[in-house]
Amino acid sequence: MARLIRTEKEVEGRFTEQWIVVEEDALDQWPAGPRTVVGQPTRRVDGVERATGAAVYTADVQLPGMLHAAVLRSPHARARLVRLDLDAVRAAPGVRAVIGPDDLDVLTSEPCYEGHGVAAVAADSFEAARAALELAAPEWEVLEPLLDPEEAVRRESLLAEPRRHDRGDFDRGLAAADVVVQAEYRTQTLLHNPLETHQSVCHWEGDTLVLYTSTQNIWGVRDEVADAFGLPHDGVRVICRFMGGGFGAKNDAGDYTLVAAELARRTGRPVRCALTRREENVVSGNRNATIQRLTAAARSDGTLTALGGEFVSALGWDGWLGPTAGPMQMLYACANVRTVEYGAKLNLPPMAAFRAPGFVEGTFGLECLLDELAARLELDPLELRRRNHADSDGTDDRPYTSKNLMECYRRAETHWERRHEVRARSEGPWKRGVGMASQIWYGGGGPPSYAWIRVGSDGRAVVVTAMQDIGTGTRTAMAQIAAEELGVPLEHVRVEIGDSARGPYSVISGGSSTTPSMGPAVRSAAADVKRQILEIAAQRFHLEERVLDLKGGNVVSADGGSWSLEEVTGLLEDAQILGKGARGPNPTGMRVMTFGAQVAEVAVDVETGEVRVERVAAIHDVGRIVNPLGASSQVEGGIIQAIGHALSEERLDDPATGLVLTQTLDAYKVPTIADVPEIVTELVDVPDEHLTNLGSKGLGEPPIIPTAAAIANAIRDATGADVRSLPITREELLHALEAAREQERRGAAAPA
Amino acid sequence: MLLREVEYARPASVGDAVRLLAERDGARALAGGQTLVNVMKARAASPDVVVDLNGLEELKGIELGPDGTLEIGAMTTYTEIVESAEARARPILGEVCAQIADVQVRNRGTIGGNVCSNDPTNHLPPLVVALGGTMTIRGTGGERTVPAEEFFLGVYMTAAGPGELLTTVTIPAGKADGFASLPIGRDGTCIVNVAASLDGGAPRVVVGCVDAVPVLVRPESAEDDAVRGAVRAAGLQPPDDVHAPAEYRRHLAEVLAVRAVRAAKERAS
Ligand SMILES: Cc1cc2nc3c(=O)[nH]c(=O)nc-3n(C[C@H](O)[C@H](O)[C@H](O)COP(=O)(O)OP(=O)(O)OC[C@H]3O[C@@H](n4cnc5c(N)ncnc54)[C@H](O)[C@@H]3O)c2cc1C
Repeated sequence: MARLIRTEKEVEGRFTEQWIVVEEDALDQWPAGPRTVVGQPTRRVDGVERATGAAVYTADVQLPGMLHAAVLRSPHARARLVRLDLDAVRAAPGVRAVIGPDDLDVLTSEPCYEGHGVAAVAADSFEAARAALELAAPEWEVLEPLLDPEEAVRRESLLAEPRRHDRGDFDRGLAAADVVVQAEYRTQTLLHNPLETHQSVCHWEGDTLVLYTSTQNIWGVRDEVADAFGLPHDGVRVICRFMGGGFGAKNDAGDYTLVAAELARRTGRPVRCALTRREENVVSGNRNATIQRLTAAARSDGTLTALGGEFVSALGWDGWLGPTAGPMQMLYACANVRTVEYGAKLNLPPMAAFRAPGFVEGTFGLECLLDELAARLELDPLELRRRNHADSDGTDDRPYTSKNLMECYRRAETHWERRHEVRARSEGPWKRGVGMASQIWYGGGGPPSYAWIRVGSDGRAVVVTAMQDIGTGTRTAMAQIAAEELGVPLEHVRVEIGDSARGPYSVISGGSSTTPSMGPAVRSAAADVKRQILEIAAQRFHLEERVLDLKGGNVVSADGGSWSLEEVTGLLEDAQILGKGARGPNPTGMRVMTFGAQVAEVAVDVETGEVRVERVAAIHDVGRIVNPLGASSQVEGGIIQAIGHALSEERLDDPATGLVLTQTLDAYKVPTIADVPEIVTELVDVPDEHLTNLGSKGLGEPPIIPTAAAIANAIRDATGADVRSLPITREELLHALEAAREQERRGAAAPA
Repeated sequence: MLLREVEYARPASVGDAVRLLAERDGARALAGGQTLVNVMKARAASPDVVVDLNGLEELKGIELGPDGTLEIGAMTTYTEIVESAEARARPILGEVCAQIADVQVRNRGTIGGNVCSNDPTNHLPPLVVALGGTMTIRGTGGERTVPAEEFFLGVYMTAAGPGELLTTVTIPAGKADGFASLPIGRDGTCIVNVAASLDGGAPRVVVGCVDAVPVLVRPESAEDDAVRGAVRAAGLQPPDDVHAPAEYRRHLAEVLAVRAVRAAKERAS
């Protein structure tokens, strides 16, 4: 039965307290450990389709009569339009419709960042659309941009009220300490770089807008676009069957979708609007840069007495302030914590969520600081972390639904022990070292989310839900869960997703929420189907339902009877069994978090500053593991992306004009397969007993969180250099090495 | 990004190719296409006809002369050089070709295209200069040879002018060679690369990525200090870009020059 409750809802660390309608989740969890299908390493159910190119992505959608849109974007970080010749654009060959600043909210005559949309055109081909835009001949009054985040904080150009957290007594904590370390850390602006750029194809069928889009949030896009066009929500049908990556940047509709929808409305034809790779690298969102001034204070035994931080996030023109102080507030037990976070509004392209926004940046600062503290205390870094383990949430004392971080540390030990042997393998200019870092993040998911399952006379099951698989293998995980509950082979389950007109609501694929939100709903739906099948079998074989079960594709009875599932479902003929499931609520008064630890091994060439990551061991605690193979892929992907963040990736902006200098993949260097180290994945795999009928948390984000800090700590271990700024460029590393040598000389010269 | 419309020709002989290139101002030779197609996509070049050299057997293959001289056809791919038994006569050739980019690029890219594009970050321009190579160029007027150190004229400019083809790269016998580079990422573009050869007297040290053309430095000896000093004295003015500041490139030039010469010495002994 549906129930109305008031509860806290969380997406990527952003909480809102609200009323929600939930349904009960009455199923008991399966016992811990691998089961017949769930917990078994399983190849992707859509792997062949993807590998052969049969899978249809938004980029593949071709509709009859489809037009192509191009967007005129501002070449200045801040400017005012003086003149724009849209008539010339309209008269260009192949042009079918043109819209300008007065026609759509996302187009402007006063752009506030490079790439801000100004006008758009739909034409017979993309080339014609682009050629037409060249005739617009805009004239600009260029205005002074605000680019420096510290300056923005001084001028109070902020996107949100400064966020303060103050618990205990920070100053008393400092005074009680034997050792205090303070340092400034910086993280850079990063680009998501999904393989499929942001894009949509829009098409009006009567009053309904059919919208193919590369999205992480089918239902959010539906509502956003419907509101923009004054339509009832189901007046927009959103389709996304396969999508080529998002990493958080595809949570909203985006200007390209609204442009395509409006041009399709005006022309009566389907319109594609796809960002080019260069547009992708400017306007599709970014992980904002941060400046973090941090303090850690401890007694000589390592007990933290105070933690403090001032965080400045360079958000750009729009966006929200990610929880950069979150790790400092939550990762360790500390009674006295004071943080303040500022979100600077600048004439730079808006930020977007990016795989654990805030926590990735904040963990880099905090976990490097902790190693600096360990060095000052002459304590083992792993031991220091153990001594400050938090048994409950430090922000409000809530108990965790489950926490196995100590177990992660225990398993990290064998990897950590390697450091002596790794260091000993230093040779010539190559110095080797080992570093570690811990991880905390959300990932519990929540209601609502629904699934339907139907079974026909052939005994095959179809899971129907309007969710998206953003590349994380969700389709496979859902098929496993349904197959497990129904007691049928994986091949007997199909999963139909990706269409808001053909299935119930599903959660956004963000905040590591998909499996923990959708998995329990799919299991509930399967249980509903199973109950109905057993009801029919009971009547057919004159047995009580409670002595029947579904196992290995058979209906079995306690007294040894066995009938194939098809024999029972064959009775249906054209009738169908329809099961329905919903995600139940999260436990009240408790905190659901994910945890982990990583150990990185690096080699540093002290003459050139080159860093090679040679091995990363990742141990994470995310509750029950549905697909160990899919899970290790997530861990590998997160670590590889984090290696780019640590060593090579950075969006560079011209400090005078605010224009993005790294618009190509040549200038913005993501790692390639040749840069990938040995990655060892270990998952604790203990179901969270308080969380849903599944006990699973999300794993999309946790693995990217601690890697950069572990690498920086390994570099310090190898060379003694303090690296406090990302990316750790080779030239900056050489300067840090020089500074470390200088300090050592001075240390040696000083009287004992 | 999509290519603009462009005419395509596939001549049957080197003579025909040269004639086509000479006839049309906007004609460009197409070898592996690993640079040309990219610059066409980026609209940095817009030839109106591409003259595909891929059918020309005359331009392919590696011959090893009795005196150890290697004659390498311009259309020989990196992979062919890496796998060639003949090319092992000068082992550095295969070793360096194996470091270029990734498998796909190595299967398509050619020695001729690599030196004719003279992208300052390419691997082969400094190498052919260090090895004392000779370039054979064919035009409608006939054939001529140019020493490698006179072949490179500027960014994307070489002695093989409009209407001409590079047909052969000739590498003399030798083995005391070394190469050191620092790419952006394990298989990326070089930030600095240095080729060195000790065959034939004083070391030939050639620094790439620091100027429009490879810079030949002649240290007095193969000692570390002499090499470092000679590179410093060359007064390099490398570019300052998104990948590295000029100062860092200058530093790398010295470090990598020493490493390249050390590698050459090791091979000599
Ligand atoms: C992702 C990527 C990474 C790369 N990384 C590297 C790297 O690390 N190191 C490196 O050295 N290179 C690198 N390259 C460049 C690659 O090696 C190219 O193959 C090479 O620069 C050009 O060779 P090509 O055969 O492809 O020539 P093309 O691209 O076909 O031609 C290049 C130019 O040379 C001219 N040309 C070609 N052959 C002749 C001839 N016989 N006579 C006269 N003119 C001719 C063409 O007209 C054109 O102007 C990379 C390329 C890519 C795509």
